[in-house]
Amino acid sequence: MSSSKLHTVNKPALNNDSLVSCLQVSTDQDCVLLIEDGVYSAPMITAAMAKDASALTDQEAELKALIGQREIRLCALEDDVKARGLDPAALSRDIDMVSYAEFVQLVLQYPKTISWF
Amino acid sequence: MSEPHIKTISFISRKAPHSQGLAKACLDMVLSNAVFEQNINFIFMGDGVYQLKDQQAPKLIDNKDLSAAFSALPLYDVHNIYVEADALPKRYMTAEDLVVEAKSISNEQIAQLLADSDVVYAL
Repeated sequence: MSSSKLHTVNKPALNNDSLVSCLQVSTDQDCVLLIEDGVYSAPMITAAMAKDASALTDQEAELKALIGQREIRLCALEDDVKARGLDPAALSRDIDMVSYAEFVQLVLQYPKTISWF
Repeated sequence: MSEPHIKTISFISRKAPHSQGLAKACLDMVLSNAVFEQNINFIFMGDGVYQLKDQQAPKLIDNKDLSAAFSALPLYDVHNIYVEADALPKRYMTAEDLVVEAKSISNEQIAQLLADSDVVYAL
């Protein structure tokens, strides 16, 4: 039985633990999709993946440790990213931009969807 | 007829713009008070600085674009616009990402503004 999961996270990591909690209990082959204000975490993830370990803030280091060497697919809803003035081109390539249609495909693709809010 | 009474009113806006209505509510309160020629401090703290981010495209998610209204604040004689200094770098933003000219001030300076205000709203 396939047990991979789609996680949606709609709060920013800076002042909410939804993303960290989600990552703590996610497993390889899962997908984490940032939606709504959750997309504000994308610049933090980008910095966490790009910077040297010595330059990371505590929060960036925590995210890097949770994301770093695991086979978790990271996505962000592109319209929510653009609506908030974030530039997809400036974000980590580790974060896939997805459309609403692709969001639906993800829900169909994964046996379970878990909303973190 | 009594003399027009002018108060110093500070508004602290702390919420991101698109997930709930508080950002718009605070902006509406500022504009309403500005019409009555009150002395206004508009202070953005925490996630509130996201309201001022440039390049927003809220039509994509059927939300109203507040940034045009922020640009119009000087026309309402709202010139004292402040952002909490720490809030921008924590959110990977700089003053150049903002749609308005806002003064970056420390928490101590915000505390002084609040002390010097007749009325403070925080939302």
